Amino acid sequence: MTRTSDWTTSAVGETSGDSRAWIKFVMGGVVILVALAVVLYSTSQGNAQYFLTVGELHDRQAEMVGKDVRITGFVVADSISYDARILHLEFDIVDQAGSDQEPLRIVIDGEPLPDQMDDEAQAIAEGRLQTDGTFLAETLMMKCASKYDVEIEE
Amino acid sequence: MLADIGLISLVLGLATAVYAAVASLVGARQGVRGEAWIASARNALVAVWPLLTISCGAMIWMLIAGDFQVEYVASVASREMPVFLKVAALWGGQAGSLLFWSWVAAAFSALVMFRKWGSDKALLPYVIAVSAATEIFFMLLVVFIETPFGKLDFVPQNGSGMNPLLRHAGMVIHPPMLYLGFVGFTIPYAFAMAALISGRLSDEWIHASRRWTLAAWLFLTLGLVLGGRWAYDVLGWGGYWAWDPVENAALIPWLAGTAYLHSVMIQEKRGMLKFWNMALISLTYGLVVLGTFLTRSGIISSVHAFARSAIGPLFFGYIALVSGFSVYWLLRRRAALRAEHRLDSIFSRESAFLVNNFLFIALALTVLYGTLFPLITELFAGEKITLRVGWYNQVTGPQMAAVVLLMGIAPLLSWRRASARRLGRALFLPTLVSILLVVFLILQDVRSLGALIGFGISAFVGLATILEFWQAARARRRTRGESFLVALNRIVVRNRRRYGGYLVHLSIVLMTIGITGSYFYQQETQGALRRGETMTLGGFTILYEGLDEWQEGEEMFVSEATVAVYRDKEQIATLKPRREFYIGHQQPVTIPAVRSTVGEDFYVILVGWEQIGPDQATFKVYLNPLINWLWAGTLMLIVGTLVAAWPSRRARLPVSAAYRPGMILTEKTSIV
Repeated sequence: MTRTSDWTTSAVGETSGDSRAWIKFVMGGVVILVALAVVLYSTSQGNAQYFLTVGELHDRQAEMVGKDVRITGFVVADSISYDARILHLEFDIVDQAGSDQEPLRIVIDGEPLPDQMDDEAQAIAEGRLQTDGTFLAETLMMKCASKYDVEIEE
Repeated sequence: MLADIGLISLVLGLATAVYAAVASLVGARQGVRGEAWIASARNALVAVWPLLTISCGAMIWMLIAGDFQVEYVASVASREMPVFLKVAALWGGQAGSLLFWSWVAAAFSALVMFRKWGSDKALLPYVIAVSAATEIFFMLLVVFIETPFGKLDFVPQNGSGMNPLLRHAGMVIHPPMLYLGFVGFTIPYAFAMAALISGRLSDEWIHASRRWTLAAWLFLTLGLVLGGRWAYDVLGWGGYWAWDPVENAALIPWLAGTAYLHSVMIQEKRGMLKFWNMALISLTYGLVVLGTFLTRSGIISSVHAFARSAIGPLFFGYIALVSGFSVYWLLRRRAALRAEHRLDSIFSRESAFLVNNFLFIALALTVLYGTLFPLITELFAGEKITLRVGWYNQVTGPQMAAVVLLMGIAPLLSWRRASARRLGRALFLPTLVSILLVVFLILQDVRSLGALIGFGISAFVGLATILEFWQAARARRRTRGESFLVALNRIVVRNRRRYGGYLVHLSIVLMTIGITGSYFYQQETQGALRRGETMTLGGFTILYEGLDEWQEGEEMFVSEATVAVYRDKEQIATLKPRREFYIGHQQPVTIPAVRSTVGEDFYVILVGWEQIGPDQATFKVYLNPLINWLWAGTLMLIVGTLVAAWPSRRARLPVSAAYRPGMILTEKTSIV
């Protein structure tokens, strides 16, 4: 056993039989850790999403259509359209608030309009890019309100 | 003026903490002659608290008075806010919350200084040094990087006020709870380091810091739950946990801290795992700092890593410092941290504790891995990739089930070597009942494997734990002739640690039931209703009766719908979901209306009405079964922790004389 197993080894001068139980435990621990690593690795394959900016998504449009993507950006002023009757929400996002970059249209159905949904708020959406260039989201999060910077008016 | 007082007091606090750290180390070096230095360092560390209190007091005063020339005040307070929110605005923004954080740290350290040190005196100088070092780091941030006392070169008429979404009781208490939890873990860490540095490696550091650890753990737990409750009440998505990096940042140290709370018991009972406990508390503290760093720097949720806040690199440096320091002392003292006993059997309480530790650490690693995944992939694959929220549920779910299951079995195992026959006898009834429950649920058309496992394990563990109380009380009643309730009370009072812990276990069972029910059986629907129209979800029907709109004061417009809730054609409630619109912030706040019962929450959100006219409104409705068991479990957890932490005059006396611990624990039973 190496140094790291100090907590597992008993007093100096033990016989090999005494430490057998501890060795089993260390083995058990190692097995658990290896199993954990395997589980983490294998499950993350199927649950991975690309985490992209609007610019990156545009650049890799052809490759990304239909893939699982998480995207984040700032809501473009006056782009929010919400039909409360059918809970249909559409809005544009860009990488930097106020930039004239080509925006990305986000579409999501069946969700209430988030309270924080506002011009230049930061949105995080998970979903897939459609062939028509819009982004169909399954989930939409607005960045936690506690981090909002407020403008102070004179 | 007040801002200057606040800043000066803060700088004095910083200088005092630096002095405390230096003086304590000087005193420690001088041995016996250094006592005066140590006494002085102790006084200095205590003095930091009033100094920071003045600093925070000045800030609170300015928030209440509306001194909007101070930029921080202008950004988080406004004239219209009620006083309690103005006070809470102290931690409503980054700079203020770091100041408040420092105050909490100072308070904890000062209180620790007041304890009776007696034979723990050798630990004192290093406890002072480590606590002071933590305070110094945070005060440096507040003084040089994120100061709340900066002034604008003009005086605004009014401040912009706290974001309306944060104006909720849960949000007002949630951050201080988390801070208390985070900062609280400084104390056991300081004691652990003090033990390592001074070489006094018996269990005294554990005894001395035990209550502080429990307090920190309780606060951290409450912080986590209150955050979830706030999300549930305010954010209107019918859920309470989203595996957001910020939530994970608080959960990871909680998992490590829970492992530590358990594993110290083996050291106290059996003199084993000394190295491991030291490593665990260091890890917990490191994860606390990492958690603070993750939430403060925006490194994870932001696509533009490191660009956001200047405090990022500093935190990084601090984490490196803490880790290096801990590892250095751990390795230096490794020889002295050898176990006094060896593990007698794999089938024993000790080994159950070990499995518990493996599971908690595995959970912590899992959540950490998920949280850092985007950073890992960016580093090694050059591409930022995240994991879906579903991944967390899928991977942590089975691990949590294993932890809960173990929670039912482990307390029944005796130390050193457990007897399979006794264990089998003790588990017979819980096993039978949980199997019957599962069969019953299957007959009731419950088909989800996860739900069956969740409820089955809850029944098993709940019953096994209740039987522990039951048998101990019955045995005492028999030998002492007391009534059952008196006997029950006595066994708890005589062994608060054990039964407080079991109460916490029971509360975890309640929470498991709540989480299982609301996770597997949440239902939702939505739709637009004309006045008089109805919509049905899971046996409930809502009838839209009308909408009222009015202006409340200067600050907000309110739109409130009235819906009648029916079940089996009988009206059982009238709900008024509403939307408030804060004029100053141009910010709507959706407030769901909830009918809460033991069985479920019926949760109605008013989605919209403007476009469709007052005769029609859109609603989103959730049915969250059993969710209140989660909140009830939290209340019980508070009670259990208090029972476990309550000072007991008989703490050092063996209890086994009065208490024959039922069928299972007869051999060598002792205080947990």
